[in-house]
Amino acid sequence: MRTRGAKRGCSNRASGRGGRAWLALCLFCLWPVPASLFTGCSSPSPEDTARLSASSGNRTVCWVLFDFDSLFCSPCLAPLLEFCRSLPVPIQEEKVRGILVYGARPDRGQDGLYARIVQKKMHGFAKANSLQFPIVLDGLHVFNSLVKSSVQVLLFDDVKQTVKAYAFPLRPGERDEIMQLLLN
Amino acid sequence: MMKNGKMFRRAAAVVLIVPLSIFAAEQRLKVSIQEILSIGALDDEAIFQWTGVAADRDGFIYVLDGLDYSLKKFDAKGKLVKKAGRKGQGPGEFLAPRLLACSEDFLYATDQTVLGISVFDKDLQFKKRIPFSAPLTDLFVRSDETIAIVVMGFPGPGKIVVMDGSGRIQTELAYYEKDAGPMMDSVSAALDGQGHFYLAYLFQDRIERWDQRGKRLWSKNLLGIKKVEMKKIGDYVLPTEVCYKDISLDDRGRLFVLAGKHAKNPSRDVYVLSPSGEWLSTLTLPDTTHCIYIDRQNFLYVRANEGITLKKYRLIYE
Repeated sequence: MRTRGAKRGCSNRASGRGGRAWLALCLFCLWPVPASLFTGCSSPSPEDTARLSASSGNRTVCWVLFDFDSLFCSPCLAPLLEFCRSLPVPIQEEKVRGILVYGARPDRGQDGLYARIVQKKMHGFAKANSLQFPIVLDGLHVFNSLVKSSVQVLLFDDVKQTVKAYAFPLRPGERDEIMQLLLN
Repeated sequence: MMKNGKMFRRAAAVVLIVPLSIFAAEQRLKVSIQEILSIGALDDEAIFQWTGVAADRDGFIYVLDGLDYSLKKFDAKGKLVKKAGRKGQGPGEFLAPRLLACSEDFLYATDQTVLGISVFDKDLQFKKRIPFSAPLTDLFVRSDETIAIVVMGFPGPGKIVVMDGSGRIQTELAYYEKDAGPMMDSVSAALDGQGHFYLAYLFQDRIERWDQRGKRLWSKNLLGIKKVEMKKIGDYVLPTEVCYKDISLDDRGRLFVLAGKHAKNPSRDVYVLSPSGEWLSTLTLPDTTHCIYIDRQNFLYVRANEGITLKKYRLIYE
């Protein structure tokens, strides 16, 4: 979009010698042009696709279950974190939700305090690992049995109207399957 | 009748064991604590899960944080001065930061999953990595030329190695040669001014003092534990209940031993022993902790709130 000042400047120059060239240059500088025209890349970037998909009608969503105890084990969580980071940021923001699963601690007395401690730890972990999706606490412990059975991702397939469960490390083809369902 | 016989034997065993344990003994010294500083709260980002702590003569406190893979420096008032490190295996990076010690000029940090010791200056600039080819369970630094490490005894026997700043080994102390099973020789250790080593066994009821030449000077059992609980995990049968979690020395050479599962207050009771191994007192901390650290000014540092808080206490003796 051209600004009023810029337009006035262009008009003045255009009336003189070489005005066309100046006009062309001004238009070139001010008119919004797709970056792909100059980079030679006509296909949209994965981020663009993800953004489009995130804002489209595809309501497939993904829940990632984190076991609190495994936050302290780098090798245990490495495949899941690698998967999360491979998801484009718009998809992470729009279609992925994290759920932190933890065991109740009766010895702590006030479960509210312990839940806040767990939440703070998850916040530090998510920040340090550049996770871009919101993560909520499973305060009712309803997902504990799922996590115990190694399920770490639940995918709500909007097209087939089904729920799929995945354990990590993923089997061959599963990562592409999840990506495809989230991106399309 | 049989039942009565069994009960009698149990009662006799209790009579025999209890006087040996510290629970019935009278305190010879009263030790209490006074809170000086608390770093890290629910609503700040100071600490997410501290694992290792060290303090220097100027009052700065250094903390390894296992959840944001960092080394942090706090001033004497608890204000975060600097943070360094990130997730990774490169220079100055961490995957599972664990032990921390400091000398006059440098900080020494270990990582549970990366071999060797990372050295930082007091401004948290990474300087070098001292190579070592086995995982460590404890680390203490007397000077930049005397760095003692406890090598994890798994699958072989554990040992204490003293090395210089370049990683050249000066002495080795094989404190436990008998093969009692994996991890049974895991210890937390401390080094006094005379070069004596104190060992607290994680999975055995044993606290010991050794000289530098490898001679055991004394051995104590405070808890009266005869049998260690074991569990099959994978291919190994491993101990599951921790007897002693950590040890540290105060400025007079008294030994502070953090007790584990078998204590009256697990992870809160700290037994205070004289340098000759006599039990003097039991100090009960307000919250559970995974480690205890006493700095050169005789302040005690422990954990609170499951590791999001670091507490600094003054030790008071009566």
